[in-house]
Order: sequence, then C-alpha cells, then structure tokens
Amino acid sequence: MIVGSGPAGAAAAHTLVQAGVKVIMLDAGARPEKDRYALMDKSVRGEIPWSFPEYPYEMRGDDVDLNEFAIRRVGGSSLAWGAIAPRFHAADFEMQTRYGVGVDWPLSYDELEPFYCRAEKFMGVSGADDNPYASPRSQPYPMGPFAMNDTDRLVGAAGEQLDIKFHSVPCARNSTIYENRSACAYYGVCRACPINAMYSSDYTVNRLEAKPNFELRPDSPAARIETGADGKAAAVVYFDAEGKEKTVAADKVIIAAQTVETVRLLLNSGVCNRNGSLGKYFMEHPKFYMSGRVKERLSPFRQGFETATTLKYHDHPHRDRYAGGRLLVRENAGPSVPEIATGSGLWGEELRTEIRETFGHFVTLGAFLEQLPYEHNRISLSGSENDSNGVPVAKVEFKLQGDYENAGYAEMSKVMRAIFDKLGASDVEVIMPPSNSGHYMGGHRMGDDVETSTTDSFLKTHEIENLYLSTGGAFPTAGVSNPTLTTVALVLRMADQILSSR
Amino acid sequence: MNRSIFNRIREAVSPALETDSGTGALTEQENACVVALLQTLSADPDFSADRCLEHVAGKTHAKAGYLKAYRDGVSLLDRSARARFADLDTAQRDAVLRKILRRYPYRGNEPRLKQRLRITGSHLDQIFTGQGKKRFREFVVRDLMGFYFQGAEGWKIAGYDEFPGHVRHDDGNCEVVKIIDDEDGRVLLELSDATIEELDPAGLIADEDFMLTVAVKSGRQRASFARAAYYQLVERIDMGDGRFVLRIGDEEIEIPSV
Repeated sequence: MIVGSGPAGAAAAHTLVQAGVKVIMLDAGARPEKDRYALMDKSVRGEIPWSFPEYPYEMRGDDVDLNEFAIRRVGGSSLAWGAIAPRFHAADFEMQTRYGVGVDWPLSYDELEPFYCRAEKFMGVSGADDNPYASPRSQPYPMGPFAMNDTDRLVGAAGEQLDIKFHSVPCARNSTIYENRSACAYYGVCRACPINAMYSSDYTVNRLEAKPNFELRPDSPAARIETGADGKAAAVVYFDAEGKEKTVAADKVIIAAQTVETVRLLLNSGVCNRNGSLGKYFMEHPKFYMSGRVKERLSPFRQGFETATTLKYHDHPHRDRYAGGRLLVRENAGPSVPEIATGSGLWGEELRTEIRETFGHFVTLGAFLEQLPYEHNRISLSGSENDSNGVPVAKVEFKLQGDYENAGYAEMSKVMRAIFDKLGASDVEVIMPPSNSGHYMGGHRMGDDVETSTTDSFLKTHEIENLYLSTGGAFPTAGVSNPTLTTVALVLRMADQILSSR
Repeated sequence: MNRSIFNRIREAVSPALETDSGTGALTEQENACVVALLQTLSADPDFSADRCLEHVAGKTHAKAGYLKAYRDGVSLLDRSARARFADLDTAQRDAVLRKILRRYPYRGNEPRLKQRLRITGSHLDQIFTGQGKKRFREFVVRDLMGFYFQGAEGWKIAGYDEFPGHVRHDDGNCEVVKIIDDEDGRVLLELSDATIEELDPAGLIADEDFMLTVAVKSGRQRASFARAAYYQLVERIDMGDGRFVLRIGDEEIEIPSV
C-alpha cells in the first residue's frame, strides 16, 4: 500500500511493481485533466492551471502556503514544480560533524550516490558536469544540459570578475527525447507542461496502471493506519469518493503524502511518536529575489525555467555561523508585456513606447537558503479544526528565519549586490523578501538514535517494522538543493531494501 | 507605515465588482463602444472586433459584476464624450480618456523614493480617484489591456511574435516521423517537433487516396505522416470491402474515410 502518487510514491511503486509486488496506491486527489494544452492555455492567460479542494490546516506563524505548493491531484506537486534537480552536497549529510550545527544524517553522500544516479535516470535529468562545487558523481547525466541564455551569459561574465562560476542547472526536463517522452519545446509554461517533457509522476503512475499488479485509487484521502496485535501496520483506512470509510489491508505500508499530511496521518493514527519527535524539526528553504535594471536588452520569458546557477555558496567555510545558499539567475526577469500594460496608467502609443523601453531590461537573481532544524518548527494536530470527513487537520507552527538564516540572507544579499554592481545595474532592490518555497522537509526525520528520530536511513519507522515514510520529511538537514531528487534517491534505496528483505 | 493599517486602507479604497448585479450580454451599441475603447487603449485600430467581443462576452456572461462594470464604463465614456464614444475619432477618444483616467507610468519606472513612500501615480490614483472611475480602470480598462497584451499583438510590441513564441509547427505543419511500440503496448507517435504522444486511433482519417492524417496535440492539429512512419502504420492496417481497419494489440478500429 502506497499513500501518495507524487515522485516519491511513484518511484516506490515503479520499483516494486517491476519486481512483481502487488501495489495499491491511494491518492487524496483526482486524476489530472487529459487535455494538457487547455491547461497550458489557462497558464498563458495568467490563470492558475491546477485546481483542487483546498487543504484545511491551522497555521501559526509564517504561512507555509500548502495550497499554493502542495497540489492535491494524482501526480502531486510534480504537476507544477520547477523540476530543478540538483543533488545535495556531501557536507549536507555531516553538518554537526563539520560545522557543529544541525545533525548528521545516518548515511553519507557516498552511500546515496548510486541512488542519485538511478533517480536521475528514473525522472530523466538534464545536466552537465560543469559545476566545480559539486560533490563527485559516478555517472554522467542522462541528458545534456539546456543552453544558457543571454541573461545567463551576462551574469556569468559579471560572476567571473568576482571569481563566481555560474554553471548549468540540473533539471528533470528533457533536453532531448528521453525514454519515449518529448523533448522540451520551450512553451514557457512549465507548470502546465502539455507534452510530458517535464517529469511529473502522473506519467509514471499512468504507465503502471497497465500492469496487472498495480491499482490506483484516486479521490481517496487516507484517514489512519491501523495496526494489528503484533504491532505491525495492518491496513490503511481511507475515504472513498462518496465519503465512505474503506479499509485496505497491506503487508507493507509506504506513506508518501508530502511532509505535512504524512505527519498528520501518523498523528491521527497514534503511531510513531513514542519519543515525541514526530512533527518537529520541520524545515523549508527561505527564498528571495533581487532585481536590477540593466542597459542591455535581454530576452526573458522565453523558456520558463532557470538555466544558470552557482553552488559556490552551498558549502561555504562559515556554515557554522550562517546559512549556505544556492544562487540562481531567474529566467522571467522584470515585468512581462501584460504586466507593464496593466501596471501602467498609460495607454495608446505612450504605453507602447513604455513597453519597448521597459521590457527585457532587468536581471533578477534568486537564492534558496538553508534552514536549520528547529524544534519549534513543528507539525501537530489541530485541537479545533477538522476536515470535511471529521479528521483533525494539521497544525503547523513555523518561523521561516532565525539568526542563522538571517545572517545567510545578509551574506547572499552582499554577493548579489556585488554582481549587480559589476553589471552596472540601477534600481537594485529586493523584489521578494525571504519567503517559503514549498520545499517541505523534516517532521519525521531519519536517524540512528531511536530517541530523536522517526525512521532509520531506509525510511523504515523505528516503531513499526513494516511502515515506511518516504517524503522530504525524512531529511535531518535541509541543505540548499531542491529536495525532490534526494527524496527519490532515498526512496529507491528504501525500495531496494524492501525487495531484498522479502 | 504599519503594514496592517496600510492593508486596511488599501482594502477600503480598492474598487470592487458589484457581484450581485448578475451576468448577461451587452447591447450592440455598448459592444461598439467597447471595441472602440480597446482599439484606443491598444493603439491598434485594426484589432479584430470579434475577438474583442468574444473575450468581453466571456467575462460578462461568466463572472458576476462584469456586465455592470462594462455597462457603467460605456455610460461613463459616452457621458464624458457628450456623444457616442464609438463615433469619435482617435484623437477625440484619447481626449475623453484623459478626462476620466489619470496617466502615470508603470510603477517600476517611477522614482524609487516615490515607490518607497507609496506615492506613485498608482497609489495616488487609488486614494484620490472616485470609485466609479476606479472600477472603470480596474475591471474594464485593465481587463481589456490584459486580454490584448497577453496575446500575440501585445507581445509583438516587445519584438516577440507572441508568448510563448511562434514556430512553424504551431501552424499545424506537424508530421509523424516515427511510430514507436513501447514495452507497455502503447503505440506512440514521434512528431517532427520532437514531441511524443500516444496515438489516438479515433483521430485517424483516410482521404480518397488513402493518405492518412491523425489528430495530435489534443486535437488542435492534424499531422501528416513522413514516409517511414506511414509505412510503419500501414503494416498494421487491413484493407478489405472498402474498409480500413487498424490493429492495435487485440483491438481492431475502423479508420473513417473523408
């Protein structure tokens, strides 16, 4: 039984089904629309392409915006993610040992490395071995990188003067036809890709449905896990499309329902929290953008995704004092043509002139910062609010930035301003202050110490031997890399272990 | 300024649709005024009236409050013009708009100090303009601007063909270059723009010379077949009694002829 059909659930299902295991997959959401071109049209018109019944949750502190980032459909957030897929750095796994902050993972980068290669093949990651700051890799990327654009080259040249190397961005979208999936056609509306060039896990799930040993049950939110007299997970109770409770027995249960809902499910089931750590150490990547105006006329709004980044500040020498970060060049820099038109009080020929003089004269740099695991950032159950099925919703208590993160923000801002200075940019300003990015991590972290963690390194819960938790919630530290690739790598390792223990 | 106070002020001065006013269609005279307005706003006198009205009808029929907003907008224009706005020439229409609407640059082009102090043209417009004119700008002018400038004509001003760009394949010149049988038994079409999609047998049509075409891109285009792909496909087609039947796995699907 797998709960959740995002990349983690899909990777687990794919591995197990291929090995002949019978898998039933539940997802709380409906299947996505078949006509993806219609969704693309919506996106081009500026509308939100994906609709779903909102997650109810109780929020205290900085909102984690679940209903913006955690899409409740078959395919989950991979339907509309940015598909950026860099690996974690080796140091991310040893933050306590190396820097005296955070905690160490119960496995090393080297142990996970072969599974990173498999995860990259599984999703189809395009990239190049041009990142001088990366940890070693044993295999090349499945596909070559996307070409950099004029903005990337401009920023890259400025970076060279500051000894900052900008390099390509590993991403889970096809730079060439890959395993019978389309090459990217540069529609520029990635969050509603009509051609499966960007990996989304509904593609994997759709193909699994042709297998006799796989069954998907959409519109089936899980309510709780039931255990047997032996203390093992015995079944999952869920609500069907009519709101009736149903039960499915299972030999093994894998929860892949994104971090917040996974913790919520466990708490509502009354399991995996003997040590009191469940829900704690929830993490995000604070992200911020800084923009400046340049004399050059550039060509934004062509691709829809970033093609240049630098991981120079990922594992910097002062990570004991301030957060690392991934610096990137935003592709959609400055206002679009319709944004200028509707944001201006002009019309007619005056407006046309303003559009010509404004559009394409901006560079926007962005950064994802790491956040330390804090006990006070936590997921628990609401005491006052239930969902439409009467099940208590999650309560999220969260503060995005502490001293460590604020100091990282200050340092990264200095780097950005130095780059803008080299560009001769004017009107440099922060256009998005640190905000959350939908990279939900921690909450059911892995570890060797059963008193301070929820699972082992194979994502198997300490308390229930046939229950696995496969989301970014397993991460003990956040690093600066988008978490999906690492999650999928961990899940593939977990799946191998499940198969070898049969 | 305290953020919550600022937000409260902003909420109080922001225009709102009168959502209890219902939906429906504008009259022919009102439509003529709206077309004239869009052509003036965009400085595009040749822009298709039909496309404009299709967009507006979509709004006034589907979203409560827009019919009244547009109707009130037309009334405001004609009153300010003291004539039918649609009958005026370009310069006269522009003069009428200047009576109604404050002019100010795109907010990002205003001096930084004004932006920081929130006294840009846009901010001042919010505070000092009456609700009727603000509703006109927000729900009529901006609605029409958004529609026009999101389209090809708008992006052309920036030197782009349109968003997200226009290439030959977008005009329906796709060709199937290869047919792929994948391991799951699906029949896939590799198209000439390097996209791949599953064959929908219902989208196949044969003309009188048995030249096949197939609907692709969710029915938005009709692709022809390159020679190699054509030969791959006809290997799966049985012909007899004037019928063409496609075999996929255990299924047999008759291909209609034009």
